[in-house]
Amino acid sequence: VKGVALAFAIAALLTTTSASQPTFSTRVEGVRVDVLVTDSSRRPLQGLTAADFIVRDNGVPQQVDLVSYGEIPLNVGLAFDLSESVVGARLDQLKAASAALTAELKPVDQTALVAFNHAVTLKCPLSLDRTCVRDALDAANPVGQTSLVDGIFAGMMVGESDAGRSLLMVFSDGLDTMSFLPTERVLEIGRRSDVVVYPIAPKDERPDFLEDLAELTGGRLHEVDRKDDLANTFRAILTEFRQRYLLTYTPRNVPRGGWHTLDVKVNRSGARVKARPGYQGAGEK
Amino acid sequence: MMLALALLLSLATQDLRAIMNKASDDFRAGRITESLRGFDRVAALSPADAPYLWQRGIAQYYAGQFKECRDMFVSHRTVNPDDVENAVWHFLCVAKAESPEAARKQMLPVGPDSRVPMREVYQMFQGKLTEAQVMRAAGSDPGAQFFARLYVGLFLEATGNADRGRVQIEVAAEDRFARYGGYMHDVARVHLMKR
Repeated sequence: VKGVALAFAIAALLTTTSASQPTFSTRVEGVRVDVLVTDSSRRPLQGLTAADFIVRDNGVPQQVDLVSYGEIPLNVGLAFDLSESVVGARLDQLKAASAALTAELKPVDQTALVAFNHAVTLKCPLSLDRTCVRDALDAANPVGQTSLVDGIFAGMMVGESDAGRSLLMVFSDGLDTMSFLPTERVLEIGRRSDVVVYPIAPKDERPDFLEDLAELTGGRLHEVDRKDDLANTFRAILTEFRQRYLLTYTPRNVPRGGWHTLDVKVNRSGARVKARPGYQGAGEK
Repeated sequence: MMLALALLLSLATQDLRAIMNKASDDFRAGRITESLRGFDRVAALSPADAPYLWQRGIAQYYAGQFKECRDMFVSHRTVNPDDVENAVWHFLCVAKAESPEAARKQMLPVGPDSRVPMREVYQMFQGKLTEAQVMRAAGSDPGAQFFARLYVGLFLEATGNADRGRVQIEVAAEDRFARYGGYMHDVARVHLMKR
């Protein structure tokens, strides 16, 4: 149909982002780093201020301007495997865990749900609506194979579509059998994304890349047994995410573009810091 | 944040194009299920691109997903409002989902589509012109002949004259029209395969 429509939007997207975007030569972008700080017993350390953090951008110490702790509304994305392996008790657990999770959200927090099996579907766009996820899971009929990588990609894109602080919880019960995108591409995007990914997967069947993705985004992989209560896991992830610090700084004495290695430390004895290992500077893809 | 999203998506552009190309190849080979799976995946991975995927609407039609293809062409109109073919495929989907009468009542408006004989094709689906008037408007230009044959054939089939419609689509699917019809020539071929 139509010569005009052959101007495919993906090509238009590239044009928009690279050629027609205005360039603000004097503008310096702030960098946001989502950071989890725990003590030697893995309990979150609270009450830290900007002065407690040491941030190095490509090895150059930076001035931390702002530390937010539990103040910014959350975007909680859920990417759930609804393939045939999730039928029965597992689905019931997933429904209960999602209900427990949404009960813990603040009124300003948003949720979204991406379901994946042989297809990938945005069941619930990011919104304040608390009923969409519940209704979508109640209506779910797990069938087909698993498009885990593509489902995660779609979930990250949902998180990136809003300016809030984004957590993506991924649940999968099996190995990927149906994705179109290569794993490496999604890992590459994970390195550049502000979305923090917390995968939840069976101990005996989790793909290695889930651990890599969690590490790259500053999240953490949760391995579960079939009998484990997913509700506790979901609540624990949300609680941990709320107890993270959001650091902001304006990069100084480093080139704007290219890959920036990040090193975040806290000047407290025994403190452990978890943050993404770097970010892509403005001006380059 | 939107810029960040666009940049992240651009990292996957080659992959999305590859999925798109594979879906188009599957369609050309008559593998409708596989084709639709690819188009659906592009729409899911890059929702901003979903309205542009008119090929998805045609694949949905041949997969028997008539309500979905109706919605697809409604969506495509938001990014391509002048196009007659979009309105025609919307008609075909509604005719299958409901009835030709309902399709006529729900015809999407179009803008100035300058391709001959698209204006006449639109009027034929509105019930204001006959098939013969469309064929006359096409004249001897092979490109216009192709589109006239294809859409007269689809119109006849949708309005209860399948045998007469097939004759027209068989002509449209002839190799001599391949260079003029492009993807739509493949649609004519696949149509014959699936009927």
